[in-house]
Amino acid sequence: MSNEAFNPMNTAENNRLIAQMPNIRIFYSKKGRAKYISHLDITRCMQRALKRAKLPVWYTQGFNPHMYMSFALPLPLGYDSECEAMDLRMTQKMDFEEIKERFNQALPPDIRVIQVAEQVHKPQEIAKASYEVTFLCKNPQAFSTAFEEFSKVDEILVMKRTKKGTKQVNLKPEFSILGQEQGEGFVRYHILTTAGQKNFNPTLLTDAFLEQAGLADSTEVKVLRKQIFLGDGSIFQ
Amino acid sequence: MKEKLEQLLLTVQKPGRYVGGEVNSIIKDLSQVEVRFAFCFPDTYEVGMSHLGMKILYGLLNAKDYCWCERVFAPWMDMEQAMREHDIPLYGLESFDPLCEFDIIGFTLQYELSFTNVLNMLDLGNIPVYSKDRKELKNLVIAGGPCVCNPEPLADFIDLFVLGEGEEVTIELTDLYRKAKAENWDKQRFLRAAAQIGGVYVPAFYEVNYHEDGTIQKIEAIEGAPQKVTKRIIQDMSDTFYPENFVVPFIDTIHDRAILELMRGCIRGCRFCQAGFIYRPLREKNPDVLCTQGKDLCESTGYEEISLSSLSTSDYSGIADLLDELIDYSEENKVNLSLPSLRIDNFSEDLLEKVKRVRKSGLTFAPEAGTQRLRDVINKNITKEDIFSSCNIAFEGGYTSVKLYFMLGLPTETMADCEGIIDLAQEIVGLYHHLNNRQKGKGVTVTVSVSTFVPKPFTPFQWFGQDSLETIVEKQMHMKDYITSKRISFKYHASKTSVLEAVFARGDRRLCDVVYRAWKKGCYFDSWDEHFYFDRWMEAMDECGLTVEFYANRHREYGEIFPWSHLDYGVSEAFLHREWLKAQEAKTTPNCREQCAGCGANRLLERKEGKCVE
Repeated sequence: MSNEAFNPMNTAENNRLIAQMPNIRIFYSKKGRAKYISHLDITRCMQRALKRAKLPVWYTQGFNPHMYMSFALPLPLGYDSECEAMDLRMTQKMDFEEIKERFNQALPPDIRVIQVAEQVHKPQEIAKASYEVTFLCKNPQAFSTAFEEFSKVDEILVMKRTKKGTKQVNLKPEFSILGQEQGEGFVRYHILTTAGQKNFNPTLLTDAFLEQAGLADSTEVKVLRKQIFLGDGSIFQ
Repeated sequence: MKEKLEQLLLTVQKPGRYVGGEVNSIIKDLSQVEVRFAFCFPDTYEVGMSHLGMKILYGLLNAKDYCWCERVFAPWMDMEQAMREHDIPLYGLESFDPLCEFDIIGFTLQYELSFTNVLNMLDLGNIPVYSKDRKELKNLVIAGGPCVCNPEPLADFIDLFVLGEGEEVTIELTDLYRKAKAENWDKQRFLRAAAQIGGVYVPAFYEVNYHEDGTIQKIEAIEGAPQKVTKRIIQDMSDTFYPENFVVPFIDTIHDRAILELMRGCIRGCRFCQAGFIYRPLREKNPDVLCTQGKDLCESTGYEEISLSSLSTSDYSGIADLLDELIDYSEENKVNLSLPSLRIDNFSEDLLEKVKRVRKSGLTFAPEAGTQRLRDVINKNITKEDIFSSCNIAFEGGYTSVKLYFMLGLPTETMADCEGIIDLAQEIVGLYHHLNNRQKGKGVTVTVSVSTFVPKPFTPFQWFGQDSLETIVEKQMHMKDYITSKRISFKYHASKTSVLEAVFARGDRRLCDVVYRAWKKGCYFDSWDEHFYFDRWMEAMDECGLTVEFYANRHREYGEIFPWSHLDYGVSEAFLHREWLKAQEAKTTPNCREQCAGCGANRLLERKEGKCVE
């Protein structure tokens, strides 16, 4: 990071200095009522929180300057998450702990900053994500037997919406089940999915199962994103 | 209930409407709260959250330790259906407690077509819709807002109405309620005491008798209620309560920005404009106070836009000072300024320059009528030259589109006036083409948007019968055929909603049955075109033996007792009638700063020996 003094009078020089500043990556959790904030709305929500926190965020220099901000992996509406990542740039060097503290004070209670760090990986390097998928159901034993039966087959064909329209895909190679637990009225699976450029949400899998099993109306599904990974299995940082 | 709700939320559109939890929303400890107030906006979250009055009263009531005010909006149809299926009552967004657990349920009535939503929200909240069926003091249903200047179509449903500005009277009422609750008063006793508070109108304390022809014979106060109820005003805008923060929505709402209220009232006296009369007298807020409030709001909300709000922003006498100071702040902090409601005749180059530094968007002007004669009838007091010079300034400033608003069905209007609208638009197109330095390769677009005029109480046109639906459609079609230029874009609206608006605006309390029946037939969200069922409304009118013609199209004689004749909004009937006569002769009245027209609203002022403007 540059240690040169910031001179408010010299715009060109400042821009050069700011350009040298590293991208800051903010990891945050989004839970509870915040899960109803869509990805489109989260941008505005974050911008306003940054403004309230009076953090020196860098604005793009175009005709219509706006806060530079970028999100690694958009979260579907209704999912909880403990590993959301947002990138931005500051115009001044600042202590990461102080950023975290001030940002948290300005954020709604259901969004919490976990960590502020320098960006290590590019968002394009993201390849996998892990989720905790909880089914609230009446008979967990029977439910898990049916689900495991369903996920054993070689091919799980579903229709997936993409930018180019709807097409049929095989889910089987895109998911793996890492673990399972059961309790009173619930079954929980730890699932690893393909993520990033080619992205698969666990809802594709759960919807396909619930529909086939005829359980769509009687089962509630809760999804929590736990971690984001690169192709080599290391954690996205 | 929260768990039950959670299952539904992911099955409906925009669940963010129904979860609360926004920054600056207020949560209180129930054990410390004596009066629970539900502020209800009878429309969707996106519409209601844009409303300044709610923000003011929410802040004001929550500033009282004994009171907790929550927000309630009308759920959209998908959510309503899900709630009814799963037996979830309408709830306050802060506590998720059902509406029927609140002490005071306060509605704001911003437009007539939201009346059925009031009934639907009460019903969804497990509260009987008729006032007479609510025997207890708890669940007291009150209403305020501009439509309260003739609240008669809701007289059977609402326990009391609050006339005029709410900052003081709402607190007086809540204080009284707190005492009544502590001392176990019954509802009647509370209402009798409340009726003695200035600006409080308890409809059950007024008996209305009718002539055979359906017009009103007399309105009589009973139970010691005042014969005339006078609206409340705030004497000094600069020292009245204004919130230091707004609740910041998660989802996109209609207006999601900081709002500064520059003034109340308007000096202009446009004869069609109800706001121009019912908000009199003019009271401006000090520019320094506004600046401080604007900065506070931006810091507490993180908003990226400040809107300068009033009925006619360019008439605010401190506009230059205010803009100078705010523009510096806004540029430094990357906040946009928006100035709606600019008048065409004092829209200076200087002002445009200031607005332009902030943001470049389309320009909208409202000449309201197409010919000078008709503009004089409505006392708009702008000339064709004013319109042209504004458009010229705009074009030279690089704008290539202007939007013009007009009304159809104004008193004395002929087909020539309708053609005049299109002629005017055509001349503006010509104006652009004669410009020397216009941008090459860029065409001009003049958008003509016409709405249907609705005569409103407390205006000089309250005696006027609205054009029939057939006449309006005929005028719209003629105008459409009359356009020759592709540069003119013509926008007009289904006028059936305007018919219903006209019925309610000047309706009496016999319409309560119509409102109830229409609601039972499935009419609500009437202001949303896709949910407006005119035929069901006509059925309901028929069943009650009432006609559209009587309420909307009938011309009224001077001296007729109106359903709102026992309500006093400051402007005198004699003044309104003088204006009505002048209108029919196409004679204008100067604005309040040029010459006082003696409207009578100055009687409401305690200061300046009753003088409203310098």
